[in-house]
Amino acid sequence: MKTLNSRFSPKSALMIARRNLRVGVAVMVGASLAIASTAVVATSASAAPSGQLIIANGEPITAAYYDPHSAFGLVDAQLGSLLYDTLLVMDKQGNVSPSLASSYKRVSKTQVDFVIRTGVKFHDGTSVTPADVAASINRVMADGSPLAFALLMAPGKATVSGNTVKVVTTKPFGALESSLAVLAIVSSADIAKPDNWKTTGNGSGPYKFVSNKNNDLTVVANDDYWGTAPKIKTVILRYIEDTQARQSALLTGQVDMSTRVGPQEIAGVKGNSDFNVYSNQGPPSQIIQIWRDGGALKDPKLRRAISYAIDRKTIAEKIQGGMNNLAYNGMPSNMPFYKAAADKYEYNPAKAKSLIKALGYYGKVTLTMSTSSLVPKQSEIDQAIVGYLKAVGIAVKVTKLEVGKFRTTYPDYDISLNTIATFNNDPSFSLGLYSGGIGKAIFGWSDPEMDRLFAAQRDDSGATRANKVNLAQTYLWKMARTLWVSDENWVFIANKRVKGYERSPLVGEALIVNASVS
Amino acid sequence: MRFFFSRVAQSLVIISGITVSVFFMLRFTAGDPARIRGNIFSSNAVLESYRRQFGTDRTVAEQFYSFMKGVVHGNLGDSFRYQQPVTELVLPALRNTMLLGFVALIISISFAIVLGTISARNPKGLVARASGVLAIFGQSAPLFWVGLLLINIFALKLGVLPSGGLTSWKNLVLPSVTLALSILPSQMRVLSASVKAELDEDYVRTAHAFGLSSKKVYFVHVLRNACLPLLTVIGNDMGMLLGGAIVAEVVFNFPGIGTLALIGLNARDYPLLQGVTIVAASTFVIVNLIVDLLYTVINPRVRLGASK
Repeated sequence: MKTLNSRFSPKSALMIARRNLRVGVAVMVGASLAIASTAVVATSASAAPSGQLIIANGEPITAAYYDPHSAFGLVDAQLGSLLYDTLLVMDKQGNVSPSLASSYKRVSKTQVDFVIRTGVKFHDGTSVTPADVAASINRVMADGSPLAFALLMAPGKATVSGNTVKVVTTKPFGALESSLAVLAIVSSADIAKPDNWKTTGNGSGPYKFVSNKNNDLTVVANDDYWGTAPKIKTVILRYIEDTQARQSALLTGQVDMSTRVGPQEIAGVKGNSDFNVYSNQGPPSQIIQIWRDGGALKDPKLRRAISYAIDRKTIAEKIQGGMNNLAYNGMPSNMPFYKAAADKYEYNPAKAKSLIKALGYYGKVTLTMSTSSLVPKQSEIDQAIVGYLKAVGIAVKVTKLEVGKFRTTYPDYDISLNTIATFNNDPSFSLGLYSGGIGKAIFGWSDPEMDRLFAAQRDDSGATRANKVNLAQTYLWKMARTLWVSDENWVFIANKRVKGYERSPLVGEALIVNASVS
Repeated sequence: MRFFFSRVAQSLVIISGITVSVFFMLRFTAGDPARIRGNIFSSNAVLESYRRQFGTDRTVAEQFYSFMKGVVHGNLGDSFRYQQPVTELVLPALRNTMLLGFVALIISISFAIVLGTISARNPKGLVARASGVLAIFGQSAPLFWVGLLLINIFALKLGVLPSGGLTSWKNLVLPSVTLALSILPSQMRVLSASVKAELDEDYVRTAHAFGLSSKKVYFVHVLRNACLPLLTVIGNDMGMLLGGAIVAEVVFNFPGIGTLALIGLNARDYPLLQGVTIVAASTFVIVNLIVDLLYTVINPRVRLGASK
């Protein structure tokens, strides 16, 4: 784990401590054993869970009721990962292994069979059956499903055969395994009666729902949990909107951990030996400056020329405090199959200017930009980009919008900043944003070639898929489809009383069972 | 009794006006709740399903009819974000805010009475001068800044009080002191001026002439009369308290109506925002109604004046 004791730098974030290496080896060995064996992890030898962990988030729960399939916010995913099991689990290196499925096998490019663990119970005491698993998967695979998690899946169907659930997709779907490491297994009864989620979340996971009041979502350890017994008795997800209030709560010990912090909060614990800073502890995420397709920006040559005009390194270092990496292709740099492109669009204003002049756009283009405070340091980033564009003869008319209006009207502007997190740690999610109806919604862009490249990598798996992912990301990059300002590094700060904390590259806290509090 | 009914009728008209205007103001303010609820990559089909769920796919007139029908039956609808009845969300938050406001009021009134009266009796004394400085500080320092200052001193440096939340009585201290500081200056000044004026009244001299002790003259007669303008100020302070609570609750992460309003605003959660506004405004109106009625109890001339 990249643990930075009271000191943070991108360079040090890349170093893996010896201890972490040992943990990594242990995890890999453990994962291998888990795959080889279908035995339920013994819980009897574990000590009773104790203590309380309070995690401070800057956003509240957003999902409809406590329905995990409606989740799209950080807290929804956190809660879902505590209350519910998934068929597979992803470790911190991004490897998947069986969880609620005692074993699984990819039968073909379109079919994966999962043997469902027996003896597992939901928190209300009813058994988790293969029918519940199939119903959970079918719920999000259904055509036109409005559930947020439908984005993670491809069309298809899950069927039950004895103790096995067969998941068959209409077309090959390489991201199936990683998606099933996020998809919560819920009871058929809750699916039939969604109002059940109005008051509680009845999963089979390591924690049980207790309450949601006074901005605190409280869960307590499930004493009958079939898997690795949680070491922490109570986990509280506390919503603290104000950054300063969140930091004060962390520094005064009112909360143990603060999530998705910015440079200011990191600086606030610099030199303070009471805290650990966990860097790169989230899903592949990016901050992008959306170029809407239309007007002069429709011309890929202009978009490429503009890409040379923006000094991304300076933005990342000076404005974002050096906490974010830069990607040199059309995906976050920590995404599986990411590979830097040959042309990195290094900052070269002279080249940008001459290209723009040669294209005849110099001094003749005015772009509209909407700006807000949705993204940390958004105003500063936007101002910098306006300055860079002005320097190469592109005028920008900026409209400052309130966050709600910004989110509602960003498609009306040529340029707007946004963030995108990949829920399932798979390129399909990231590349899918640039194709089909989603690409049209975000970028106003429709490109049959991109649709073809996206489908090609989605419909494949293994080593051949890596090549296809590379073709798709490189095409996006070459087309300069947008401005990939920087990756978004998810940094968490935790009090040192929290031991053994680790995260997988997924949204949520599925690995929290390994953490303890002293 | 006529005075009472007249005031109640006025209050009902004000609350109805607020209820109607908050509905239309929200509808005509830009911001589609479905887009805010959905992801950046939500398709039109998903957005439409949210609009159907929220009822925002219907005409404003239809939405207004359903809303008013619900209000008449005490149903403020379900929150878009929480999918829970708004009343279940607003009432506990209101209780917390009322508690915060009440404690702030007690603190400010206590200090206003002590400092105001001492200042009135000895305008050139140390307490009067210190009170003047405190009043200037309270009126000029932004609420959020005072809050952060108190957190820095009492939570971060001294570690004697929590910086936020609501888990024990200790959590009330810093936000209520912050709020109290914002309303204390006006209360103190009004009371001080009022006490000064009362001390110059003939009845004070007469009371002394009749041999009443200074304490009795002061506490039974002067302070009671001097408190009348204070009561008016307190009525107005309720607005300050509710407005200030939004800032204080954010700074101190206090789970009150201000925090809820902010969540509602960020999510364009129409029912929640309507509920918060209606309940907060009604509270303000009702408190002012009570103040008006109390005024008539303390000073019957107001009641008589109204009946003429």
